[in-house]
Amino acid sequence: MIYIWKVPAYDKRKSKAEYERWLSEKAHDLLWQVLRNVYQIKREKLVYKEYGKPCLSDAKGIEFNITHCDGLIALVVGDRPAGIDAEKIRPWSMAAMRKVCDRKEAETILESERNEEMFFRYFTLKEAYGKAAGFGLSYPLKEVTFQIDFEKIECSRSGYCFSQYLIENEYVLSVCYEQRQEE
Amino acid sequence: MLNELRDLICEYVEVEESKVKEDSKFIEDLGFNSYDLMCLVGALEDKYDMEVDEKQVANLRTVKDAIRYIEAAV
Repeated sequence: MIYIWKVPAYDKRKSKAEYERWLSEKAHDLLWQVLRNVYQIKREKLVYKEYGKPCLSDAKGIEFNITHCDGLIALVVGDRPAGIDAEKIRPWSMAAMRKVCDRKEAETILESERNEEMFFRYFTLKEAYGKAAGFGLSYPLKEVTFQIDFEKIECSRSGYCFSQYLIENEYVLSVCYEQRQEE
Repeated sequence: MLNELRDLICEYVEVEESKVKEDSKFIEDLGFNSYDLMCLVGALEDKYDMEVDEKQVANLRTVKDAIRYIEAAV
């Protein structure tokens, strides 16, 4: 199940650090509202694994992951490891593209009429994959590549499946799930 | 080095230059998110002609950590 909340956007009159702190606290509040009200889980069950990935200490069969960006918070909850990432579509950095994308992906972005959206489609897929696999962005992002063909997404690494959503033409949301054997 | 890094940081996040200090934490003090961090790492690679090991990115918690990393790498 994917939960999405629109929240107030970053107000440039305030500090970005202050906004990011507020966003993070809001995201955790919303996460706990869902875990408590929908899954009857107690707050003290939250533990953090390597790279800061939150999980539940003894709620076997319930996995979750949360993301937030300017104006949006999203949560995925399910019965298998998952990673989720959302980004607001905006001008992107060439330096980041060189770090994140391989040559073919970079060409696809640069040739796209909607290159901002395309960059963040790749970026969120790679971050969602890293979160599902449990190492965040601490892996060579260029080496895990994606082929995006309309709605179909193929990854160079096996064992995971992906879904992606365009929200109000303003945000890209990617979700990565560990694949079940029968899939 | 601090001044060079300060200029780069201010390109990617909306923060007053005076608030970027050696002991500033990228996430907690400067408001970096994962995308901002990736932009900065890419920009550092371009500026100092070096490669940042992705496994080390999580260890770059403060401006001082980044300065030490660059000084050791170039």
